[in-house]
Amino acid sequence: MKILIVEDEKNLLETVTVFLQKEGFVCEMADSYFAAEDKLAVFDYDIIILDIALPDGNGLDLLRKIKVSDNSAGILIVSSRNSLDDKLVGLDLGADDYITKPFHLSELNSRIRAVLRRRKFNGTKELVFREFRLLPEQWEAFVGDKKLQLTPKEYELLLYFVTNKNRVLTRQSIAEHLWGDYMDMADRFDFVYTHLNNLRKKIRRSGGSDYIKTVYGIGYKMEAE
Amino acid sequence: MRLLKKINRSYLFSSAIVLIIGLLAFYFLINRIASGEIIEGLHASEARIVHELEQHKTVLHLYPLIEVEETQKTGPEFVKDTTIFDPIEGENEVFEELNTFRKVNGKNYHITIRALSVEKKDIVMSIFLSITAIFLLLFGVLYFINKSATYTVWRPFYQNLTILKNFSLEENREITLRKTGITEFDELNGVITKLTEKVSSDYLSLKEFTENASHEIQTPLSVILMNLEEVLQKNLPEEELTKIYHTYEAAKRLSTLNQHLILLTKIENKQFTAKEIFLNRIIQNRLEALKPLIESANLRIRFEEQGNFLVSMHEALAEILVNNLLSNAIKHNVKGGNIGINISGNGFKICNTGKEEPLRGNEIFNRFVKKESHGLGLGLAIVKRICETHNLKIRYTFSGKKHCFTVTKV
Repeated sequence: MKILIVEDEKNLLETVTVFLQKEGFVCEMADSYFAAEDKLAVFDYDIIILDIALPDGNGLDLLRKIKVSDNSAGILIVSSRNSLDDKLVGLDLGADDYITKPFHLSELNSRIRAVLRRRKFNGTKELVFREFRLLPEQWEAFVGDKKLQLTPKEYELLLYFVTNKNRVLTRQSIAEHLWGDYMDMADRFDFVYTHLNNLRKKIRRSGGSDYIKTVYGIGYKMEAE
Repeated sequence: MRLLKKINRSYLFSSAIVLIIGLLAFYFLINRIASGEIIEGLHASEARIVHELEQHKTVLHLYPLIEVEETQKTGPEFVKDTTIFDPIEGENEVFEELNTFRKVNGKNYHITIRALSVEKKDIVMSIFLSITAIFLLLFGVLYFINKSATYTVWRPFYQNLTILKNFSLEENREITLRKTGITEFDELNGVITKLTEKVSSDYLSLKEFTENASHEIQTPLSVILMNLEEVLQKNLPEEELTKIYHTYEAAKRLSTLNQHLILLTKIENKQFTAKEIFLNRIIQNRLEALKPLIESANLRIRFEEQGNFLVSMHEALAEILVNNLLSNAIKHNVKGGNIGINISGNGFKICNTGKEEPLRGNEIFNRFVKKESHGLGLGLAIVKRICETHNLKIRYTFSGKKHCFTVTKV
């Protein structure tokens, strides 16, 4: 899987690149509109992560060009302006998803995986982790052959963990993944805890093992050992 | 005090002083002229009496007006006031009295001539009356002139005042003041218009600056948060991990705070496109979403739907509005407490059990007023701002040991 990351903030570009390389992607960096245009003319990518605000041009213009050139890459827009207009314009222009700065790397990973799944780049729509099998399109999850009866939030939670296995997910990152940016801080952690407990109970009841470990005071981690 | 009242009052006061001075001056003047005339008359009479004495040697005697008597005394003539009982009038009268000593045909005479003097009391009275009459007339005329001037001259001024009272920086509308046709007012209008334009543009640039600053902060915050999150993945000693997590948490808090402030600004700038939605559906959705939390706190929900509450609002804002209120109702509840939700065609009301004392009603909607140490203190400020920009009113009441938030159409 080849990803082009277009981002003018060098620090961010590097952090994202290192993270995605660890996740097994082949990454290329472009720190300007010009550099991105250059790379796109020569190479093909599966995913383009595109910052809208670039010093030498608007990311949305680049998006238009990509779409016109019949490039089949999945496109994920990144913006520091959490503006609904940008979001709508971006999605209208054919972007696959939209993420607002600051974002969690685990969230970025989830979004990229989701785009890949929707575009069927990796051939299968199934996610397998140990005895778990998830079918994101049907919103279904199985332990062995047994179907888990999960609420939408519990399902999203499980999917988030499976997508970001072996990674410490902070409570903040989980809360934001499930409820977006504007839920009040105070009850979010109780909320994460409640959902997670329900999920764990349901997994145990279906005979699965609980791979979700509590990282004390910080968050949770799904460990494959 | 109104300008007109103030001016009238000082007019009244100064004219009263002027009139009193005038009254005194009048009195002395008239008194002087009158007694001058009388004394002149007395002298004329005396000359006639002397003439009579020379011609006929008869002595006229007409008490109290004329007294002539032979005397050995001589001396200069003198004038004095005297009060004499007038038997005809039957009362004491004030007379002007001229005394002369003349030698006529070898005999000395003492001639006393009197004339009734004008009574001072009468002079004062008549002057006072006439001046008061003039004064009243003047004041009456002034009053009516002012009154009609208020309608013609002051009306545009008051209209402009109303326009200024309705001026709001947030609405960002230019004010257009009426031409008054009066130089001073028009000058004032000109200055006010310039001032409001300047204030508006300063406000706008300040707002833009705040907005841009908020947005620019997000990128460095992203770098901080991402890198800290990466460090959290490492197998570090617990002590270090805790420190890093605390740093991460603080940065996260800063970022959330910033996002909320951006949201507030966006609501104020009306950057959300409204569409007609039923809040009933939003409330039910949010209740469903918050169910695990409600269940874990053992809360009972009483949900009453008396009508459909239709509002014109962006769906995301409606969700934030309902979510913040419901979250508060859950967060500040007691174990095993309850939440009452009542929706009607004109609004909705969310009541919850909780602390047994009322909150400070006028403060809780302000920014950064926290009920407890956790939380950002922006939840209700956002709720209030959403209400204000959508023609809704939010009220907090405390009755029957329940905290209630009521949202109604204005």
